[in-house]
Amino acid sequence: MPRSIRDVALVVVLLGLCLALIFSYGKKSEIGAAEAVVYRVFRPLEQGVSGVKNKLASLWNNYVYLVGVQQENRALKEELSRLRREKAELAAREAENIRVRKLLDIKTRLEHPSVVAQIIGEDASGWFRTFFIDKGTDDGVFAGMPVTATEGLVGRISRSAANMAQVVLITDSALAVDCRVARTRDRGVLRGALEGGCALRYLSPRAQAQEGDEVITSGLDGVFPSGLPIGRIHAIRMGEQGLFLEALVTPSVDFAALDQVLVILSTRGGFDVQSWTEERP
Amino acid sequence: MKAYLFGLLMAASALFFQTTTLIFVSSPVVKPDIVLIIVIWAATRFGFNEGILFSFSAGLLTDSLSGAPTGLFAFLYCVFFLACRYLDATTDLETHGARFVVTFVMCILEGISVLASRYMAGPFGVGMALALSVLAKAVFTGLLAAMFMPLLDRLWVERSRLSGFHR
Repeated sequence: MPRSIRDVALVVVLLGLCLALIFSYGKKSEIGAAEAVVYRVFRPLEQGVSGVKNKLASLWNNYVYLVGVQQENRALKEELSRLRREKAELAAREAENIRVRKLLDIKTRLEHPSVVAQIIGEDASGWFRTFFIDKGTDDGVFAGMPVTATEGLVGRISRSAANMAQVVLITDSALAVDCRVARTRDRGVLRGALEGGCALRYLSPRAQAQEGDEVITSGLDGVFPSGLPIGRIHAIRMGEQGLFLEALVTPSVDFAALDQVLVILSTRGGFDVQSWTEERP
Repeated sequence: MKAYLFGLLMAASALFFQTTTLIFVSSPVVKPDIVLIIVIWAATRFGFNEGILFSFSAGLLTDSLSGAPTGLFAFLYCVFFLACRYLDATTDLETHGARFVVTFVMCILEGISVLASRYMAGPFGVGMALALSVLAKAVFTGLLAAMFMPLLDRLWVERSRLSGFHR
């Protein structure tokens, strides 16, 4: 076969394969064998870097900072410096304790079993709002499970391997969450706005929601349990079609500062939906 | 085959860097696409078969480690490889300026393609902030390409010297 024809054939086969993969990509709950291998290779590396990052952050916050303070106060004696270092170490442990206690507190308040996971990496391309956690199917974490933090809803598991899973954030446009405005009980669908924050769409034109109102999950989508805080409304405008109101929501979770999350181990079919009982006292 | 493995090692290293270390040095909005840089570089250095197979594999790796549907980046990188291959045959892509411009344009096209595919999956607001973030990412990636490609050349030469392989 002439080389040029062989080259063209290779291109056609590869591009065809890509298109076949794209169009066959659905909401699979498990990843493929090739992706499992990729996750298996990348997981220890990412976890290692994550560990080093946490150590460095701890060192910076609790030691380097104190060294800076010490330099500003040169008159202080060596003994005082040593005590401050010890104090900083204790403070770091205390902060860690508080954070874990908060997570445990949420864990005990939730009706459903959950597991604490460490964030070990983020989206490779930057075009999507996703990150990776160090828990997977071996820990009972499967695609579709809700992910929360102490401040509120974080997102949902999109792909899960044996010991690593991918979380799609509520700020990504691929994730839709059925929500309510806590004060007025107005319902809408929340999607990531990509430009930052989220947009709560399909609010009734008669909705009484205002800036500053808290948005919570309604539980009616069968994916997220009801009552999880999501964020606060910072602007309300008429939607593009002029039929519904649209509220811009600032998430209550600071995703840049997040390092641990809680995965709610729902049943693989999601949460039971009992909308008929929700409105009744 | 050696070139393919070399490229794959570079792409895997780049992805590892992008999923971890870049968290500290850049905002996710303007995170440079190092794998795209390697694909463009490969178009000027690798043989055709090795290059396109590498682009396909690097794309699949990126798909695995991002929120993209499987096949999206594999498709885009293959198309970018072919485009850069054509450009390399017709123009000079060896200068810093040319490398910046090509990477900048490819990154813009990548952004438009990804956002278009996302828009088809579920509409979202498209405004000036989003356009600026695509532009900033493309500029950042282009600048990095101008600096990073000479380093890749250096590694490529060292690898060729060690393995006794010359194109």
